[in-house]
Amino acid sequence: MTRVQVDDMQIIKVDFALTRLCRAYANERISKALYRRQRAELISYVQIPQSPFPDLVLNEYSQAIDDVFVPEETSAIDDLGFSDDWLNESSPTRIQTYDSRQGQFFNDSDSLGAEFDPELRENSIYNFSILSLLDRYYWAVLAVFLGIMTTLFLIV
Amino acid sequence: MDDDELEQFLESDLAVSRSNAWVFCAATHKGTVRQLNEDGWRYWPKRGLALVADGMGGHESGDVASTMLCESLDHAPSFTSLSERLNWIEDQVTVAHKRIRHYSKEHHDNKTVGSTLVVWVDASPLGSALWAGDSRLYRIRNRKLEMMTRDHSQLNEMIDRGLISAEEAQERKGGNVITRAVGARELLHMDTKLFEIRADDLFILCSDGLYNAVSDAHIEAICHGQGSIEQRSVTLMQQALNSGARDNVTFMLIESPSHAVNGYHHEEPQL
Repeated sequence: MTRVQVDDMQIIKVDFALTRLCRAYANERISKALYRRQRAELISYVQIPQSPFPDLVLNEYSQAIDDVFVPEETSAIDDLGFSDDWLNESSPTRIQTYDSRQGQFFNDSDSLGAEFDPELRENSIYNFSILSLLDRYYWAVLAVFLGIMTTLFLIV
Repeated sequence: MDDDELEQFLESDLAVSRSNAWVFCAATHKGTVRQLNEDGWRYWPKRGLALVADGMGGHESGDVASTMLCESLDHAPSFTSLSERLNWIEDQVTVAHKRIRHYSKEHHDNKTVGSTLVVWVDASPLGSALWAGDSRLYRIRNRKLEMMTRDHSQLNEMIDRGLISAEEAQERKGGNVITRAVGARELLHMDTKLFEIRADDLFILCSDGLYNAVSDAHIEAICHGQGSIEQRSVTLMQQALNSGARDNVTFMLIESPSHAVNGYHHEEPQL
């Protein structure tokens, strides 16, 4: 059922949310399917009486792999000088890779992404273990090495 | 425009169509510098749908891109909701996007060929706009011109990221560098705008050739002035050409039938 009149405040609210939704989609923080579903919910909110304002998800991938997410410093609403509880965007942000970068400008989260590399961390841990062992048994290893060299010298 | 040019313009570059709810008047011109007109437009009055596209890519390529976009929405199924319509439009534009990229690869060695796009959708009392790039939708309500879309441009990106203020952006050059266009990059994301539609609203879809040549104040005064929708469109095009119009100029006026015949009569304010 479609309303004859549209509430101005509802339109302003939906327009603001839609702007954020479009930006999340353009930055690939949400999938096309989720973008469309949430856009449909926003349209229903305006068209269908008594419809609740939808809880929007603007960082879809935050639920999937907790370890590779970092929290946003400020919510999207606060960024624009708004503060309300109808659009909760304080969930974590997916770290974007360089491959998924859009446009000609750096995404804020890229700098965070550049600092985190699980493989690098694993390698670092591995290297750290080897070095610790060498450090602890330095004299023993050196003694064995010198012993082998001396034996070879005597044989020759 | 001299008399011959005006006659040609009225014959081939100005078109009017009516539905019960709206009158559409589209006008296009190559401008005073360009040899080709790479802009495109299309309206479907009974479906409450219209678009303007501004092709880019040089000799004939831009024209191909904008034409592909215009044709992409020709055959529509029936819809039960505005959401379905928007999804369908996005899907069709994505198909055109892939065709444009294929065309670029086949004929122009992957050189950038593309088109900006703005689509107007009537689902009264709601309306919607879908766009990519710097083609715009304006609305005149209560004699006031409002820009309903926001250009995908470098300057707006810089404003969004807090690198410059809106005031600084106005002083900078390079505002015409766009960051999105159909066919230009591998992935396409269009933005969506939702707004209320009233019977007295006047909508203007246009390419950047119009607003770069004619100020907002003049657009508002001419479009919301007296005279038929055709007369006002001719006046607006003449204003653009008199101002130099270095780019192709394309626009479309959409308004209720009650205003399309005689335009708008403004009462003088009483002192």
